[in-house]
Amino acid sequence: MTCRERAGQVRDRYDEILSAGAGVVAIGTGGRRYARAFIEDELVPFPVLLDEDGAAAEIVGTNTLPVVGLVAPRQVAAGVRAVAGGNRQRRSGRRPFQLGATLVIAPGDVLMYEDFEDYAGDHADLDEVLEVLAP
Amino acid sequence: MSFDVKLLADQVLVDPHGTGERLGDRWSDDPQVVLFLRHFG
Repeated sequence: MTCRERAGQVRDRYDEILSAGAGVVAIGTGGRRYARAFIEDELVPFPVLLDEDGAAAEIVGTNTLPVVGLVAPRQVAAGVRAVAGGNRQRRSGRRPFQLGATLVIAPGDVLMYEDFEDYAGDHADLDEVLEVLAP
Repeated sequence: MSFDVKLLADQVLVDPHGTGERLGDRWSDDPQVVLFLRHFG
């Protein structure tokens, strides 16, 4: 459900990102059917690609949620926040322990920003992202 | 830099309809916010 929360956060500020001269691409772990439903359910306006074998996430080095982390207080709080925001957990996708990340990459393969989730729901601050795009 | 961006750029990912694309083409002209989502649950 935190992926849905995250998609909504970015969707709600998508126009600001476009105005800053950038685009957005989401990379998910789910299957194609999951992705189509996700886009439809969450009204995702940006492209969604699938990292079906996890190779892209491995290159980037996304963190992994330890099993005990599922019941950690900060994780539980993030789940409560996501539910309170109207997000619901559907059937789990592939690699449910892979955590998210937010990057900004510029032409020339220049990494401008990186933020890796330490737990599900530990999303990068979009104000920081916009500051990088339009300082 | 904590990872090889060029290696990431060369990854070919598929869209939800199965069409493949080189990821780095996304940022060849303009910056891209690249979101790795946890899963589509």
